Amino acid sequence: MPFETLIAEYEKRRAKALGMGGPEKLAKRKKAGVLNARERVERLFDRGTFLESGLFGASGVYPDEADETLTDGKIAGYGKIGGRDVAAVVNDFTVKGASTSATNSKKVAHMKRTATERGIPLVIIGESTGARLPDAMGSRGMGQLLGNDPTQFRRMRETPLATAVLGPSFGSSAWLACLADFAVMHKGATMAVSSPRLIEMALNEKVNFEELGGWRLHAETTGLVDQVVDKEEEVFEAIRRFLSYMPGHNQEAPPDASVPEGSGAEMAAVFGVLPESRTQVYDMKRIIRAVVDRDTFFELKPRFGKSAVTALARLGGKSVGVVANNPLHRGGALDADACRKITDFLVLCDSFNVPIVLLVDTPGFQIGTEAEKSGAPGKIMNFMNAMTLLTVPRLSVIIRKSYGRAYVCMGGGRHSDDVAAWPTAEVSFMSPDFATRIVHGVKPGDPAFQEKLAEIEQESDVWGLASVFAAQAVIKPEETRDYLIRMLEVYRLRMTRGVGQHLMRCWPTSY
Amino acid sequence: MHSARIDAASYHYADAGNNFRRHRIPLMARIEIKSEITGTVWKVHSKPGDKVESGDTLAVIESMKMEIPVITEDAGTVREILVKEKDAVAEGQVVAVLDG
Repeated sequence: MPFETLIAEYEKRRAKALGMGGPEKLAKRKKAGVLNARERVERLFDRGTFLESGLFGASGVYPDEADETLTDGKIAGYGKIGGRDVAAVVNDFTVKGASTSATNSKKVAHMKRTATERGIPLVIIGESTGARLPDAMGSRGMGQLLGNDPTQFRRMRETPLATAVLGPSFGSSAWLACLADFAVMHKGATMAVSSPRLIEMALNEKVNFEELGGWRLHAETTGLVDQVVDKEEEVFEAIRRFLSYMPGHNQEAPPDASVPEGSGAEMAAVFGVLPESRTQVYDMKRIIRAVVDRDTFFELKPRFGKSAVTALARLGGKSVGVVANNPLHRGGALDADACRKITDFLVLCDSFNVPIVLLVDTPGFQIGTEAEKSGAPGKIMNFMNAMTLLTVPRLSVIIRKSYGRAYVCMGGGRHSDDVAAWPTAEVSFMSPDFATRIVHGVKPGDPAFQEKLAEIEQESDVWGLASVFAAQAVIKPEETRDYLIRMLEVYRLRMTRGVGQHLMRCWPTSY
Repeated sequence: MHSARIDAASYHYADAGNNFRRHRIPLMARIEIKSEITGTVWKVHSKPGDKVESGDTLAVIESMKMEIPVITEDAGTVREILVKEKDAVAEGQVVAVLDG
């Protein structure tokens, strides 16, 4: 056979495979304003860097369906993001709803194995229906298709895993998003165990996609997604940005970046964010934004457990994870969701060698019947335990209140490498008002109340903490940024070139 | 704290198989604004018909000796305010409803 014929055959097959589920389905997507899988590949990677693995894969169960299973519904390969290697799987919904099959399972496993063994991040762009039918039907189908790769859902956090939830994300798209270090969801997408259609058949429950697994549910109630975006293009920007704070693998430090001009410019006014009255609240994010390098604040789970803020950012060009209380919500009292969010974040940062900065203003853990019903003590202990297992540098700054067990969880005592406090810091076992009532048996209105309250308030000020060396420094608010940059340098992990011990690398990705 | 019930059918697309189909996009969402905390209503800052932006304070709850704002994450128009000053509110209680 002349070589020309072989090349012609190759070109024909290649063009067909690149055509995904065919012109009709692609036209429908285009009309609906939804990107197709190959357009998503282009947006994910640096221009022209994609190298495909498995273009000619197709159903191995039904070879006569090769034309309907081009690339078998999952586009896999390697590319660069910000100049660094990344492996990816992008689901192609136009081919059998990107359902999980024998061949594409091998492709996904291959990407995961390569990423894990060679130390590069893995990205999964989800949109899928679940296991392919009828392939997985019956005991023979199940035995052939499912459960044959025991590493499929094993997370050891060797390398970062970032995922996107697009369109209907059932089956693998949902499972992998929930296992990921970062999950971004497009508004209008659905992530759920099963579809409304099956739910109606099985339970006679009528539910729509949005209520079952829409963005609000996952951003506000389950906390299973880290960010939500309005436009599909923003999904890829979010993943690229997340990875910019991460190392390629857990045996190296995160990459440095240049410090944007204007960083620190707002520090002179940062003290003004604090209200003069201790009963009033403020938005801690204003302080974080002023302290970190300009425009590097990248918040995770902003609508979940809002009395805490967890954000990746940079200080002096180096990646940091910021854990802060936000008095704007619940006065900064940490509820079960906030504890869960912080624990997730500590595990992420410690697993990928990102130092932690804690900014403290909390009246303590949320009390009350709702808190107890949500299992608060268990969530608090997960948080506490995580603080004891951190091996990356961590610094804490007490901005205002730090009370009770939350004082310890937020880095008090030896739970930080170094504790600094603003002159506004107040630290005690409980709020002065309640302490006065309990310790002295007096209540507001009683003759001795004001005098006893003043005594207790004075005992809670910053100087007591500094005098017993439980705060290593008392700093002026405007010095906070420079202080943190300098201290991160002091506490750098020199012996291991910035690499921690990753003692929580096997912790769950949600609780 | 927020939650929403979508009045109109919303979902962008969905089909169990290969077909791609665009569904109706929500025209209006009913957004419930809840108190994050148990306490007493200290001030109400908004009334039905008010247009609000993300980050606006709709009411202030006094709890744990602090003034805790009830904030909307979403822009919209106030449909109902369900509390008045001095009312006791429980954590998770709906304080206001927006059309967003």
